[in-house]
Amino acid sequence: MSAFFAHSGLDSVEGWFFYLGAAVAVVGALMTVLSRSPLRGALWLIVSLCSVAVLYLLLGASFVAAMQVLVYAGAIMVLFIFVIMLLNLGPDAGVRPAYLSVAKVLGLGAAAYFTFQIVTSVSGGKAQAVDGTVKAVGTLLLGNYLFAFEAISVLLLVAVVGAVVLGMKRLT
Amino acid sequence: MLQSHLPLFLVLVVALGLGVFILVVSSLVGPKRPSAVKADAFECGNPPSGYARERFGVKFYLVAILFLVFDIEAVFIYPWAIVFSDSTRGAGTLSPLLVVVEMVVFVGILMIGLAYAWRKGALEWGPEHGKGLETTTAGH
Amino acid sequence: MNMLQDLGTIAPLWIVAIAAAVVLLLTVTGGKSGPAPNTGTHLVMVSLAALAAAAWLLVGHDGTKTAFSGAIVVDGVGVLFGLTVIAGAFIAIMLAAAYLTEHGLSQGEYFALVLLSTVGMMMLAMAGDLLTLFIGLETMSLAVYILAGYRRSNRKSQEAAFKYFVFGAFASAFALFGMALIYGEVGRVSGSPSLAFAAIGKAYGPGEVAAIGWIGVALVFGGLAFKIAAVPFHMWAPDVYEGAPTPSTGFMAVGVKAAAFAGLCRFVAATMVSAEGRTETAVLSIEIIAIITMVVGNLLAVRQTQIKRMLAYSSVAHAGYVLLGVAAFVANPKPETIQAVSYYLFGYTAMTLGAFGVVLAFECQDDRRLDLPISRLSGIGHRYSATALALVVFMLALAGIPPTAGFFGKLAVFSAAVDAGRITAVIIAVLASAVGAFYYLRIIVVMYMRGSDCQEKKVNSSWLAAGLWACAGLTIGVGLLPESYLVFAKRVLTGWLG
Repeated sequence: MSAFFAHSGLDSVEGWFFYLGAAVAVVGALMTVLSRSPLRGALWLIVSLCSVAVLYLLLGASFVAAMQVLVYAGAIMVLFIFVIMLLNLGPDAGVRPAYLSVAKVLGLGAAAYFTFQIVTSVSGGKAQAVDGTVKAVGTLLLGNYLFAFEAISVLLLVAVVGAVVLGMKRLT
Repeated sequence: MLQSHLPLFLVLVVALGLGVFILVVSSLVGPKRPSAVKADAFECGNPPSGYARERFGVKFYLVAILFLVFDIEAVFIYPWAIVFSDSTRGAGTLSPLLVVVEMVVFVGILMIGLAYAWRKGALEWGPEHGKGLETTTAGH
Repeated sequence: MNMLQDLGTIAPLWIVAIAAAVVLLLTVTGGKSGPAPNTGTHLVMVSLAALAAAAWLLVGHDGTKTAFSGAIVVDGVGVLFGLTVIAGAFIAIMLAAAYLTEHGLSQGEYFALVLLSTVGMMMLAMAGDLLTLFIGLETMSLAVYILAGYRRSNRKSQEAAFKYFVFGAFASAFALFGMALIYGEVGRVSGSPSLAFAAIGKAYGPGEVAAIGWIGVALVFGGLAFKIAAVPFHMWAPDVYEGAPTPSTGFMAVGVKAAAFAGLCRFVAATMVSAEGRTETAVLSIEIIAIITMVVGNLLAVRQTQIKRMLAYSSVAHAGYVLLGVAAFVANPKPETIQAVSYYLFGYTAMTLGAFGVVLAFECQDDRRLDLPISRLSGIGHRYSATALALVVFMLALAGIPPTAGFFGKLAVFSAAVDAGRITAVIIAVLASAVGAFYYLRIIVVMYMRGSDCQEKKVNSSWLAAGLWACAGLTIGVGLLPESYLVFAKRVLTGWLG
């Protein structure tokens, strides 16, 4: 563990940016879960998603960062907010009595265990920045991962058909 | 690493700073004369009517999902464009023809989905449009 | 040119995908008089022809071929499991043709979704890396979620789609997280992160993988275990099986299961089989899941009064038997074990789809009630002797009674497990199948009960009859001639793991 703190990265500007982004991401995620109003929760999620995009940038994955903002903070949030409005959830829709359940204890335990494992297995080494520029990702997508690239369009086709099949108004 | 994103960072700082500046200055300098009309919800100048939390029509869902699908498609076109422009200058490892064909296949598959949704009437907006799954009225 | 060769290797995939596109477009092309009727023999024919062509290509396949930088591997596993999911889709489309006509639902989208789902299943079976595996898993699952909710006006169908989707999305998320952990761990051990099964095998082999890598393995395993409905990931199965339209239920019971098992075989072969010092733990974990799955599945099936729920628990139990085969494979990695597992799933496909076909013939046609209590089958043995006889065949096969495919499948899997030294597990499995025989045979008894007059109407459709004949023929044929299947399996599996 001490090796981990020795490599905390607080000696560089990137390190400070990382901790800033990570802190905002965690706070945003917590507020998403703890907000009483679903709409506020959704807005906090945007904060969290955008700060994760900052972390991607710091890792050198600028394409993923842009995608995170475009697709997650943009398009997917539209769906989230739409569903909240479709279900007409009021400000207190998320209120549940606070109680300690087996699921919560198990979930927290699992989260703690994962965190511990991840921290200990990366400690001592520095995370390596990858070449995640749009160009590098594009070369991989159209070269080595061509099959996955084309297969994704089949997946999207299924999504289009599914949306029409399940979402279209019936004419009767 | 950080240097290459410095402009982006500056834009963020300026945008944030401008927002804070406008809010602070207007709250300091601006006159404060609150009234019931001003506190009301703004509906393009009309007097507000009804409750703000109206339930949305489900047909927006279809539009939202289709938007999402084609948004993801668009995201994949960005890296393609860069690889393509490189390949036409002979810079990349891929031949330009191959790169074009790859994108044509990708978009082609999605065009089938678009053609289907279009012809099915999923993009129509009037109340009279839209054909469901039922070919007859039997069964429901 | 290299690209053309690759396209030739994955021909079964794009043939089926193109057929799906054609079917989809056929449903929306029409003259000025309005759109073409969204039903008709031509849609069925296009779908079946494409599946037959893909199957024909797979049967003729020889050796191991990789395509697209190793993303797709067409080898013995790909061929055998690919053929199984194609057979499942083929029969499911025949059953669906009868069902959709009966209920006045449009056919084009249904067939297109079945075909696209089959493409996803084949991707799973032929995955050369975790990326292809995940995209295949998602393509398959997304289409099947929609098929489960295809009867939109029915509340149970809506519930089925919703439950399956929410639980399935969770399972996929866990699997994806696991893949990320494996990717990172492979990078830490070998110096270059990779998703390819070959690279994963090399990294996991020498036993240098840290706990985080094994957590990743457990998460991916859990995601796939959800798809095969292994305990404790089976909670969704009864409600989803009951609520989904019957052909969808049949298709998800056989196709999704076979494809997920194919992915599982590839996954355990890369991570567990070669792992030094961890193999025994892995075998024991899978074995325990297998035993719990078959015991829980069989015991809960006994209590069911709805035949679709009973078949849901029965499919859980069968997942347990096949998992025992997977455990045997990890303990004793031989192509023969994969052969046994694929044989089991092939036979299971025929008999399960057949059973759902009979359910389809007799279930209530009223939209508010889609159920078929077992008691309503009473007396059909006298009135509809041919259909009843078919159900007898399927029940005997599911119970594992010779000379059906069910018997030889169990025999092959259990003897592979004995070979691997898992005697205790096999004894429990045999006892569990004895419990299973009880509820399968009860259905036969109910059907031939005297003194009850049958009120049931039966769906009359030549597609349904053809589907049932095909299932019965396969169930008995593969059972009587296991050798011909095993010889073929041996041929395509030659050199696998070599």
